[in-house]
Amino acid sequence: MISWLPIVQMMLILTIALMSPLSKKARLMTHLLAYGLIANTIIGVVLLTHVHAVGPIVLSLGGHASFLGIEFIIDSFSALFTLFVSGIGLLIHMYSLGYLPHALKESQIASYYGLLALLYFAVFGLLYTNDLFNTYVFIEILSITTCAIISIARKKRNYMAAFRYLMLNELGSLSFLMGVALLYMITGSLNMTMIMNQLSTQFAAYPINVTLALGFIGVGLAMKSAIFPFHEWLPDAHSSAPAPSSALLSGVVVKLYLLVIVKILFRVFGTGIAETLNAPLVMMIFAVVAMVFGSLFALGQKDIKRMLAYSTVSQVGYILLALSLLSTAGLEVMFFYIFSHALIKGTLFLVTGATISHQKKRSLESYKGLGYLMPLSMTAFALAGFGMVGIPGTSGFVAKFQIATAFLDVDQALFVWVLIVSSILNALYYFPIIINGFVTDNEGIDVHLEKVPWPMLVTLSVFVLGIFLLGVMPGVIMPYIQAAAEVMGGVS
Amino acid sequence: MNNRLLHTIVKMLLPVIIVYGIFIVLHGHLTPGGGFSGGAILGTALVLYGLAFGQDASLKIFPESVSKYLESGGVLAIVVIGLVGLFVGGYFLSNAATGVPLGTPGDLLSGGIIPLLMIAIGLKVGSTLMTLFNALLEDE
Amino acid sequence: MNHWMKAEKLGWKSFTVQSMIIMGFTVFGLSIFFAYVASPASFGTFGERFADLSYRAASTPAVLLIILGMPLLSALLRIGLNQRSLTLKDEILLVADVAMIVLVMLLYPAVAQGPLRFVSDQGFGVGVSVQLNMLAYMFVLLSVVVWFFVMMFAHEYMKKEDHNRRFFLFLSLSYTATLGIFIAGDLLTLFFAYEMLTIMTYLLVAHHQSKDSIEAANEYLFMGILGGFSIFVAMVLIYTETGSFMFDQSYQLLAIPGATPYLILGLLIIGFGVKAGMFPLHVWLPKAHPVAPSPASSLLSGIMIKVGVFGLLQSLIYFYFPVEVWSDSTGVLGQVLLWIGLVTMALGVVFAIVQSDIKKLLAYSSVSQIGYIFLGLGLMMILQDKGGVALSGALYHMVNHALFKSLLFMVAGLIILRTHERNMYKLGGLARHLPITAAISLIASLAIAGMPLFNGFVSKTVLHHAITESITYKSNLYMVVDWLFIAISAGTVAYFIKFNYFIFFGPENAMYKDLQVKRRSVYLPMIVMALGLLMIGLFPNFLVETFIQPVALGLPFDASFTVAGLDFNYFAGKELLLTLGIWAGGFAIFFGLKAKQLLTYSFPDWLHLEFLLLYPISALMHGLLLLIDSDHETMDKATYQTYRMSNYKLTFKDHLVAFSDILNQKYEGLIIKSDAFIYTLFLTAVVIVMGVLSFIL
Repeated sequence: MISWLPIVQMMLILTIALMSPLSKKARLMTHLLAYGLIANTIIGVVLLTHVHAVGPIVLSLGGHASFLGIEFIIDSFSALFTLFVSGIGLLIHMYSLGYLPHALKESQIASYYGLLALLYFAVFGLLYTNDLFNTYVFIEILSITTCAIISIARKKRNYMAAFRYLMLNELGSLSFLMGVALLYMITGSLNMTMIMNQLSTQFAAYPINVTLALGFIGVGLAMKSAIFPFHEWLPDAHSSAPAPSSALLSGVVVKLYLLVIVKILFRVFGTGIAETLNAPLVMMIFAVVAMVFGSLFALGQKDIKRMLAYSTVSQVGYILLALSLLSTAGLEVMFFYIFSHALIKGTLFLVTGATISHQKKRSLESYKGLGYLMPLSMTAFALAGFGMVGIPGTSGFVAKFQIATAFLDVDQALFVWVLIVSSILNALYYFPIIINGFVTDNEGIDVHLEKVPWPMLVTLSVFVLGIFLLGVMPGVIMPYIQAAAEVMGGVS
Repeated sequence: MNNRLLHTIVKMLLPVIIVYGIFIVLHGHLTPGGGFSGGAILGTALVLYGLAFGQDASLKIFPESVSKYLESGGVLAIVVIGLVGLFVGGYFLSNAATGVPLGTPGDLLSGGIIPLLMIAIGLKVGSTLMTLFNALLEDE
Repeated sequence: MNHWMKAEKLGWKSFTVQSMIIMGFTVFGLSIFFAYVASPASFGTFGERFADLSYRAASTPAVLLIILGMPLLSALLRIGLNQRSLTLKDEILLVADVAMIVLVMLLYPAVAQGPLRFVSDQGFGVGVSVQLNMLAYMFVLLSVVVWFFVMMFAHEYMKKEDHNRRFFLFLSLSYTATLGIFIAGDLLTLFFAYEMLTIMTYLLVAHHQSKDSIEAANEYLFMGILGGFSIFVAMVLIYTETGSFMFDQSYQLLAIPGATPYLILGLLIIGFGVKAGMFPLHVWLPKAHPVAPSPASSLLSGIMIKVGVFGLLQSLIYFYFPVEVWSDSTGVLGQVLLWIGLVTMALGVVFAIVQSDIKKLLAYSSVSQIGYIFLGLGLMMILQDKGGVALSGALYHMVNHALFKSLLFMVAGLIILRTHERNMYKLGGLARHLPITAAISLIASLAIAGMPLFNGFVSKTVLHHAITESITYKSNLYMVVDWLFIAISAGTVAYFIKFNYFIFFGPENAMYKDLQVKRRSVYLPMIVMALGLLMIGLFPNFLVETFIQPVALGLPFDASFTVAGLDFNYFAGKELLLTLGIWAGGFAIFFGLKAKQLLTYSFPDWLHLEFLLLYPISALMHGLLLLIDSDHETMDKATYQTYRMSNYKLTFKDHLVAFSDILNQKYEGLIIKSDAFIYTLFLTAVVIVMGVLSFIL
């Protein structure tokens, strides 16, 4: 009975997506998506506790044997992250309740929610599936729906951004497919566990194939997760997307592709082959470059959403750095960082949504004195900014501390310094905004709570609470994260 | 203009194309092709009609009110079939376990739920091609 | 808005009278407390019941948490009562401060018996803890007392300022953070409170929101964050090496082979040194203290820079002190601290002498006095098991400096309030109009310059004893230290002569003929504090026996040596003669420099410390910029017309932002347009690294 729940989860959200052509009014889809996300979150909680207590669930679609059919694996890893996506999605949905009526036309809102539902469907599928080609299918669905929710507002400049985004993503998908084809060629199977079994013997016979496969898959997924220098689509996409899309994109979707990289490295290739092929070295180089250059480019930006986009590029570097350890400890750090960053970056983008829609201020210069016009939003921004830099008490500090200790445990002190340099750069561009917002003259401006719709404020408050909760008591989710890491990387 | 020539030829070809598309869809479990390719052919037929007779005419015979139900309905049909398979047979999209007769391989009525899936997919793909074509034309 | 100009009516409702009552009560309470501390036995059963109450109070962390939370509560209350009178609002703060003093006094018997320690497993993943041993207690007591006095002063001073609510809110948050640092039981909790302090004090420094304030505050914040990161790296290294950072046992990092312990200590010195105002990280201090409102400057200089020293001391005690036997490596560490201390002292003195701004002079004076404290800490490490006296000197000086420096900043604040003039050369002869202020200023200056009968003399004498010990027990080379100490003390005398001469004595400036004394309530805390300075000077052994010596005895120093070293007569002839010599030297320096017109020497522009240290990186970036943008196309379009390597006004941050801006404009579009090319390039690179190298190597 309980093994039906994942299917129910996915089919529910798919059905909701399919309802979107039924009505031009936004009400139907808003409600449907809300209920769907609530239901999915509850199912997620049930699944997580079940998997944590009992063990993984393996579903075969159609009942076919694993080498013929498609398998879904629901273990601590996928259950944790589907819950993560549902939860964050629910909170962002609440935010959209207040934000979208101002930003989009009525008919667009209905299709927006439909596309979002489809996006969540693809995300769940991506997390559950154990089949490489199925992964490709869901990646494609994800690309197209994210492209759609970016360009939903139908402004002229969106089109170029959406087009470029789509082209780059397609290049990435095709690269991924090429890698899958190479793997299929050697191992004759598309099921991840079977490929792993085969590869351990076949690697010696076909080393070049495997190398090329990993290269193609890696670079393809890197393009989609905005690892520097494949990040070019991110700033454009973010500047034109509505705020909830940016928050979702930066906080969830990009991380999802990183999780797919995790799955590929640990479940398809295995750490042994990856280490033989110097994958950790490559990842570390990319990560360090991303951390530093992402922040350097962010320093020079004048538009706040582009700046936040480059900041995401830099943070993806941090996550990749944690991943490059290729160990269970590294995975633990990486997963916690994903949680922390989703909350922090989500807050930052949602605040910009409030400022842009209600005060029409986008450039960094215009944030002078904004703290008096919109005190709650700017306080949330300030607190999230502290989390970004790594002030203790926030989840960002715990995450960075964990990265630092993880690297010192394997005697690689260099990365601690890179971490510090990158954090200093972060401070250099976040603090001026916070300072400008609060420490300027407020002649004649009455300080009162801003007239921002309450759903937006509620979401912001929940996010900020989450940042501090994870910062002060990370033990709340650590057991689940550790279970997820162990499931992936083996018990250390 | 050779509108007349075009109209006549299209009117002659269209039924052939449509029948061919349906054939491919229905024989999905027997011959190469199936829902996607058959649906593409069906969609192409509609597009051909639109190109020859003008977009308004094609929208009259295949209005949006129909296409939107076909598209959602197609996937919904697959979802429903899958869920039926889940509840009855224990696996999502399970075939033999649902009790639909498998028949002998090679017959038209064999393969369990696969023909049903093919039909649903075929309708959806055809409708989607038409909608995409219309959308691109509209934006010009 | 000008109601503060009118003289206040002295009735029951006036702040002056009410504050007198509160002050009287507090002073009475403190006197009884100190009497108890001096001899608990003479209080009989009353004393025993007090001790019992204390033990019961100390059994839970509740009292400590109340002490931590009370400032915030009172600040919120003050904000909440927005519409009431200012008097009522400030009195709430004062009453809360008195309550805190009472609570801290209550904890004394428990702490005297043994350190309090509360550990919690939750929090930050590795747990938080608070502890209160005699060392921490000393500083907590100092903080609550000084804060109380400054709050009373602040009532009058802040009347003419805007943004009062914000000021007091962040002042209270800083208060909580400061106390948090003192009672932190492990390095992580200390770090948490430390970062909180940096952020909360930012708004105090930037309070006036003028361009100078914000620049100074930004520099302070930036350096504070850098210091924080430095401590972060040290923390992580300590955690990896020892597995914990609790302050409950000595970890003996020096036992670990290799350069790691020295790296950790270097990072800790940098991190805490930023807060303390140690050379070369002191650069924020002379900019931040003058622009902050005077109550904030008092507290910044008085308490908050001690936080840096305290953090360093705690790290030394728990990570570098031995359990039983001292190793020779501590000598090296001590040398580093000693010489940093000396350079800081010298630097502070030299810059103080040439200042024209009242508050900047006091800021450099703080830098110099922190140098004295570092000198003491350095000697402590050098003298190893005989270092008890040096530590006592440093601790005593920390206490004394808090008292007289906050008093001096209050004096400066008063002068600026009345005359609106910060340049001391434009003042003069104010003693006639502000006699009480002049008297207090004289007392505080005499104290800091080391006049016998005042407290500065006592702590400097102890430090001097430590120096002589190092000469006797270590090597004669430390006589250099002795001479420098004497010379710098003479310099200290000189610039305080300058301070008082130009402001209070000397030729009178006609502008201030009509200066009148208004609002007497400010004088109350200042007079009491001045009396306190006198009391400590007259009974120097009191503090030593009750607070400082127990601390030194609790640490691995030679106990009998420490006791013997501290038990001397401060009024013996040798010390008095030395002091006379120092004062004579000070007068000589002052009048000599005045005659040669050197008192306003201004240093060349390129002598900015930041410029000198970061010049290589800035030059590198400038070179790269010339390469990237050789035709100045982007730079001209941007706002960097004045961007020149030789422009010393531009900070390193400006250079960095310019560099990244131009990088951005040139290359961002380029990268975006050449995505396919990049894809091919990197795919090839990745495959090469992965495959080819792994087969070749």
